[in-house]
Amino acid sequence: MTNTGLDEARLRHAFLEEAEELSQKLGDTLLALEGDRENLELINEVFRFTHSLKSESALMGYQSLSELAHRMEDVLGLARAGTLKVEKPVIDAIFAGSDLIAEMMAAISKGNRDTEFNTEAALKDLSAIVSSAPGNGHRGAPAAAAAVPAGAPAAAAAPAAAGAREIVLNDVERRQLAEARDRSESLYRITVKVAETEQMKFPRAYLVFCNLELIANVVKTDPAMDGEPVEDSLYGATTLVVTTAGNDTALREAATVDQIASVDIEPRGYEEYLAPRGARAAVSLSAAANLPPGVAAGLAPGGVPAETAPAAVSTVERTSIRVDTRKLDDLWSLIAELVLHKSHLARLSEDLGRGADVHAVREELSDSFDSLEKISSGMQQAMMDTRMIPISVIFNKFPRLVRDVSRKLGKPVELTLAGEDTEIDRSLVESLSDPLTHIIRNSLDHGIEFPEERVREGKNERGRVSVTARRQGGNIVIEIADDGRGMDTGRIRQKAVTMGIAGAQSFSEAQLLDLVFLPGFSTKDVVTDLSGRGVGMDVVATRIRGDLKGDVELRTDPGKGTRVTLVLPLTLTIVNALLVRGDNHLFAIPLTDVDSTAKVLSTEIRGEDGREISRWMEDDIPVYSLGALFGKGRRKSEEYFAVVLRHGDRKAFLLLDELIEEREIVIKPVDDLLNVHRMFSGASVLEDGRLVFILDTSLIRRENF
Amino acid sequence: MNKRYVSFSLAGGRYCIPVDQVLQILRLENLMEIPKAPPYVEGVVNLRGDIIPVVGLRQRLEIQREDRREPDPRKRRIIIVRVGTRSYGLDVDEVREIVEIDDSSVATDATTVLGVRAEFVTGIARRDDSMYILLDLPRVFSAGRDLSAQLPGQS
Repeated sequence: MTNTGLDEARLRHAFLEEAEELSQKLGDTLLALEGDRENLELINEVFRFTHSLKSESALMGYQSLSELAHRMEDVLGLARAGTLKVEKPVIDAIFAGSDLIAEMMAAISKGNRDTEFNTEAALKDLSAIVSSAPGNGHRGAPAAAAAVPAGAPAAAAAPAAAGAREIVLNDVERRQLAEARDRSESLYRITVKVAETEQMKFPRAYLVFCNLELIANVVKTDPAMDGEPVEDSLYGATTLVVTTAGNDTALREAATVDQIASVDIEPRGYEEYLAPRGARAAVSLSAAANLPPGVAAGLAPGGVPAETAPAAVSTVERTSIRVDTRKLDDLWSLIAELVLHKSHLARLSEDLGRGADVHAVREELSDSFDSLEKISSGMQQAMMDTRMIPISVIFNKFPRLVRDVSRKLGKPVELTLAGEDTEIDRSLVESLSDPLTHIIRNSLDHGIEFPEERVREGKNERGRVSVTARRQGGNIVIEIADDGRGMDTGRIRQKAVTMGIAGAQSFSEAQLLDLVFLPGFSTKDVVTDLSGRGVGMDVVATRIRGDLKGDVELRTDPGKGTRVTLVLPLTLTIVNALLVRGDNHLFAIPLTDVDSTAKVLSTEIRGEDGREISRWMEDDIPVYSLGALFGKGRRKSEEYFAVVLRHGDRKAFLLLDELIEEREIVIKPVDDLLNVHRMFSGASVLEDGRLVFILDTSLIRRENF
Repeated sequence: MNKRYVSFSLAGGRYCIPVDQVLQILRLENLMEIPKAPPYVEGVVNLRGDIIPVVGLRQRLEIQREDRREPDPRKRRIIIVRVGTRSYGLDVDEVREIVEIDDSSVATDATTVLGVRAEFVTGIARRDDSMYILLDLPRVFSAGRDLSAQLPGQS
């Protein structure tokens, strides 16, 4: 691998990116397969991901990883051929392998070696499955051989590669192959044998070639199909190198024509054809060791000592990102416009130099300036968009998490996810993943009861946990809800009193639940025993409230379940907001939190000071006033401007002095120093330099607001 | 070892902060008032689009020294400092000069500082005839602000 001329670190970086995605997809598909074990499509997909992982890792010289993937592929090959039923031990073994691969990759990304992992047990399990499969007395039959349908004639069942010759590609073909790999197509080597009885071999082989060309990309054939046909008998066995986005079933269909005795379709790794000499030899070493002699002979000869594996690996900085190309296209078209305007400006400057009419030039300049302004704000938006990724990058991990934890605990749990395509700022992903995982774990650990208990309570045996994300104004709201036993606020109060927390006796339920987020309150002995939720909720709160400048809230219904709501501000973003004035300050209210605007007569306001209500549609909702919130109190008046705020299921009137306008604002974070009462979700500076605070409308849910 | 400090005066006393924590010094203008901020937060300034809280050091340090003279408004400045990843403004009476202070001349026995919350002081340095109070900025901006924001029922 030292003679590649390519930067080793960059190669590894690319590998990790690719492999990480593959590994994630593998996990997801496995989960789906577990629920739908007969699904051939899913088996094929799992096979394909495993196969790609094997090839990619082999290319990089990660032999342990590659060997593990290879063994998994063996098992999956049998499953794909229908000779092995996908039952629990099979799924478990593949899961175990997939986990190990994920761990290895994590280690590799930290600069460690895959060889540090003990894969022996996993390999043994996989081999045991292969040898226990019907008709597989020998260990480690390659996937390709196993993929041949059991009922095929004897000639077809012979190892495919027996008659196959090694195919060497020229530069153009190699490039074709590299492009196919980039398109994530699969690579197959197909060996087609024409029936002995057929007098004219070439036309038959050519027919297969044409059929395949229709559905796949035939990179090379041996013997060649173009140019002068060679001696006809050579076409009795034709080898084709094919890439396709489809699966091998389609290939088989295309290749199965009259007078064809056998079609052998073998998935191959791109590295075989593309890898530089050193790496290629290394691959053939790991691959060949497990293949029957006939197949091994088809690979490049010669083993390479282990020392040629990559030299000491240094830590990779994972700073690159994946961006939806459409987002980049948007940005690109804006840049194109920008370039256009640049030349326009240059021309105007020339015109001025030549003594053109100043007024005309000024007008053009002013137009140009307007366009530039549009472009720059468009670019700003486009750049922000590239920072946004769907929250599914976090949510994707949860099905697996729930599966594992629920198995471990013996509590069957059904997980529902919603709003996975809600976009969040890339920078939030890392800080958000842990707290969410923690909350879900807690739900399973402490919230969901054991099946017997649930049945006793008249609940469904299976617990339910739901995780949903949605955008709400300038916020992302994530809710984790379970239908478990809920929390006992009475016990929390007791604990609070024993801990000497001032005023705990008269705390409202919300205040009590908020205590769980205090450091030192939710210790293990307390909360497990409090039967609810909570080890380390203080850590969650620190992350969410501190690092992410969001908020976290607990609501519980004893016996029915618990709901944790995270509200995260979308920093670095633009929202549509209603600009209002109250107590001589400007405030912005995200439009999505505004139900409507209204006028409220003072005679319509009932109730005592601080607990006033008024009628809105069919309900009485609380009345708050911007003036009272931030200043000296409500200005006396006959009638008030008001906004009906909406947050979740709650509504409230907010009285104010003036409704100014609706507009887009750029949200800036506000330092905690300015936000000790957590009334703002951000701030914004207007063009004239005035400061606008963005109201955190979730405050209408708070008890002592 | 000699270190460089920006010195300023406040309520008749001399204070210093390390030069490398200072981003910029502004005139006291365009200070925007903040609703419901703690008493020591005087407002914010808009520095190139960033919203920076300005802290009144008199209140924050709880300076008790009797000094009834109103500071000269023409001399008042905001020192923009960087603490960790955040920026803050300090409202001071007058920015004096850059001083070099040798570590060995800093007395860290902060209890001798009268009239200032000792927890905000890293030490006192004597230089010529003046006494400089060295401020511990990270503490000035972090102490006592965590719980107030988290505990319910205190607003």
